[in-house]
Amino acid sequence: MFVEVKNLKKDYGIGENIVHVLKGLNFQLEKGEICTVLGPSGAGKSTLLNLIGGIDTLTSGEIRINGKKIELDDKDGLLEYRRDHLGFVFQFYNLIPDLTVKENIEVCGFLGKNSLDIQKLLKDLGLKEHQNKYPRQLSGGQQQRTSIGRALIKAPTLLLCDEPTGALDYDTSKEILELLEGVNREYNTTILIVTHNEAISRMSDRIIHLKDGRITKNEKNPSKMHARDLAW
Amino acid sequence: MKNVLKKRLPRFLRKNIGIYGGIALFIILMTSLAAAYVIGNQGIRAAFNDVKEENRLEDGFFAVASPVDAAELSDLLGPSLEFEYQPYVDIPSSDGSEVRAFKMRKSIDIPFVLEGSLPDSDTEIALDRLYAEAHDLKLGDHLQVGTENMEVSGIIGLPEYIVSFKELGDLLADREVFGVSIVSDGFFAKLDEEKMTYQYAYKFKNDLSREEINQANRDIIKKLGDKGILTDFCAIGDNNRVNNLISKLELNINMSTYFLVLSMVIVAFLFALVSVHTFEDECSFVGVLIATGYKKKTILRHYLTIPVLVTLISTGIGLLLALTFVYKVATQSVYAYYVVPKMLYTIDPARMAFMIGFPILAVILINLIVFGRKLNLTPLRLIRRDTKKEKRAANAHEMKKLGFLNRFRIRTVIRSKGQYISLIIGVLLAGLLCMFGLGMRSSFDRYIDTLPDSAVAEYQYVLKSPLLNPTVIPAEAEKDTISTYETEYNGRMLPVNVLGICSDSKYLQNIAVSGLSENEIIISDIMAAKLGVNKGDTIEIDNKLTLHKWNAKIVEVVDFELGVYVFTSQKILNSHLEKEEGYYNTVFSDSEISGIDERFVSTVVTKDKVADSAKQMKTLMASLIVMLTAVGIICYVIVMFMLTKMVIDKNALNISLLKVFGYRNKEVNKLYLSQTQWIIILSVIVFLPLQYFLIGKVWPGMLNSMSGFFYFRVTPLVMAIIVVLGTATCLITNMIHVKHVRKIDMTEALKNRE
Repeated sequence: MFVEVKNLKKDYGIGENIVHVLKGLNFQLEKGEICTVLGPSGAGKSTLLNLIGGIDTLTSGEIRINGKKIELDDKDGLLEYRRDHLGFVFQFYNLIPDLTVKENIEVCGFLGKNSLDIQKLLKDLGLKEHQNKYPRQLSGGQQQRTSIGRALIKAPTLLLCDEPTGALDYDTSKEILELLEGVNREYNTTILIVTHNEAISRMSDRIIHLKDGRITKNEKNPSKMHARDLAW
Repeated sequence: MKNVLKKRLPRFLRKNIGIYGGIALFIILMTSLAAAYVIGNQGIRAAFNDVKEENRLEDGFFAVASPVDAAELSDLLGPSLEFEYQPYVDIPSSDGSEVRAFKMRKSIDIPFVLEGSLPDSDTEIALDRLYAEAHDLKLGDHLQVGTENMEVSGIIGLPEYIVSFKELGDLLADREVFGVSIVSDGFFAKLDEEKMTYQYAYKFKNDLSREEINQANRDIIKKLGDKGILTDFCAIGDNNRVNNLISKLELNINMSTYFLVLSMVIVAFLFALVSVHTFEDECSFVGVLIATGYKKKTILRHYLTIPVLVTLISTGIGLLLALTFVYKVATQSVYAYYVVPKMLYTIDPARMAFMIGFPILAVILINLIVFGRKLNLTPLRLIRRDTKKEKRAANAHEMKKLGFLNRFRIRTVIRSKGQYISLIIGVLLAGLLCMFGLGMRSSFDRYIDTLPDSAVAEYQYVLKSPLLNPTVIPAEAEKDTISTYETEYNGRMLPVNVLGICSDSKYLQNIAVSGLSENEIIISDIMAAKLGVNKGDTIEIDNKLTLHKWNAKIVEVVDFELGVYVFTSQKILNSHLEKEEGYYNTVFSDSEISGIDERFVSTVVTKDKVADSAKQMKTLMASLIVMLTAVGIICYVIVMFMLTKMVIDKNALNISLLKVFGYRNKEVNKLYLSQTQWIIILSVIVFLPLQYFLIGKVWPGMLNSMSGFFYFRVTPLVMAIIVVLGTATCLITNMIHVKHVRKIDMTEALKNRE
């Protein structure tokens, strides 16, 4: 298994004010799978993503990537893990406003040991003619493409997407989903998408339903659709 | 609803404690220092003015060869003049020092008693405070004066001996060797008449204009001179025993005012930065408040509350410190050299209003400008933080030749150019403060080091009149003429020494006066710098005693560091002074002139005395110099800390985002912090000449009240200290901020990135 999550628990607060956000999650992802985590607000989706992303500490349990346990107490180890394996795509892009499209992508390219060819990536993302623009000169969709480019440039083994279409209109959202689907196909990148939007789950290989910190359903998608055919 | 916003205020303050704490500290330091010097020095000036009135300070004094009948003198000098006989004898005391014993005065120059009382019996003596302190004498102690063992009945001051120069022309008052006193009439009558100086103090009965005073003084000299009895004369305007204090007080007040103005500019600048910083931080929240229905007035009041409170409280603390404690530091150096009554608390309304009002006004005005303008934007634009007019058309330059790291750094600087410009201006202003403080010290040091070397000769004898027996003057000595003129300078009269150089000058041969016509003069570079005049200009100088008005063209400016000097030929000066050819009243000599008749000598200036007087001046200024240096450095550090904090704060979220991506701290430093460091360090270095130039420009104004002048000079060491301080502050600040940035939770960084 590429991703293994075992009895993952996360609490916030102390004493009487303790909040159990994740109450013992167990699931596995295969290499190259697209997995969608669905759930209402407060279900614990973003917390799960942050734990897998190595930017928050867990209370108990275990996360293994490619068979290797993530030591969440080892700050340096976590940093190397994020640096070598992960790509992040956020709802609000989180682009650095001072940098051009190309430079925003290079921010992560600078870190990769085997970074992809930036010109090819810009072309694949449809950003070639916008490469010298600043984020503020782009549409929301173009900004999200840039953010995906930034995540992909260092050829991550796991791409974590937090509501990647949350800030976009319908058409642009579909464009972005098609792009993610293409990335998965071309680079065999495992993708974990956290979203409210149930429609997105139809393009994924696995669907995990999360509610109140527990997995209520974890199923293989028997009727995986192409992103372009999605509708909501 | 208002209460909800109010509840937020303490939290807002806690969040921004670094910035507001820095500003508060800055204001407290500056206000307490500047106010202390202003209050202390003005208080002493007020006390002195009281003495002038109540103790009836003389308008001048004259000495005669032998006592004159009072009625006869009254007839001679006319009814417009009031005078009192104030003879004195210099009596050696048992410890080798000398005490000038005056008899009791009743109507002019009445002593002010600081402790005890004036002598009641012939065995009592009242001593001037500094002499008593130097000799560790207290009330009831005994002192051997001449043959008498006298009891100290009082510690006093004499209005005309605020500084007890033994001779008027002395440069240094050494209380170890000389002091003044009041003795009873009975004791005075027993003193040796041969050693007595028959001196009279006088006062004009009516208020007179400057011209009328000069005319009246000239009449006194003429009447007594014509009688052949005048041996000494000094109008109060020329009396260094008194005037010295006023110029010192005004110098202190001036210096601290300049310092205060500069620091207020920095305060205003810091507030401008803070309010822009606050607005950028709170933009969305402000948008939400407006959208919710809050009035702009309410929002403005909310954002004004903390800055106004911080300013008010810190100004208040600063003033309180100044009034209760720090003023003592300011007055101490004055009390250490001048015998003055205890200072009177005087509040100069204009200066106080400036000290309290300026920061408050600045903070209100700046916030109104920053917030007022932006509050006119639509709530939506505020919520989206879309507050700037973006130039959308231009794409970024590709900078192909540069590597990613350099491009990143350049883009960050370009994007945050406002921040960086503020940073650079801050470095300039804070550096000015630092250089001002440190430069004061080095300028004094240089002045002290070079002044003795610039003396014309080892000895300068200033004579009351030419010697009866000129043969005692060695051949190598040079006989010139010197006179004091004055010229108008910034609304007051500045003394100008006019030196008439003899035709065969040896000591001043570099000053080519031989070809000068009557209306041409050469001046010292010090005079040129002080008055802001130059070659080709025409100036007017007046002689108070001869009433000669001299309009002369400056034909040359020469290096002459001793002071404000005009040079002409002895022949021309003698003719202006209405003296016969061959008249001289000063002798320069490299060796001591033995056998000179002391009665003709007004004062002897030696290189050592010049050096001592310069040192004395530095001692007098010491507390101010130390304070300015310390405060300059502290403020520099505070400003640098705040500025770098603001730059780093602005980038904090981006920095934590980079950490999410897997950047190591070292790499983050390379991307975000190194250019800030380099920009600061570079600005610190690049601005040194500009800061030097700017202070040099305002320097003459600061020394306005001094009759002399010295250049503002900073040594390479001072420059190095400023660079090291700037660099160290920047590096330490960065380290502190980096630590802070490291603590930012990465998940928080993501949440806040909409």
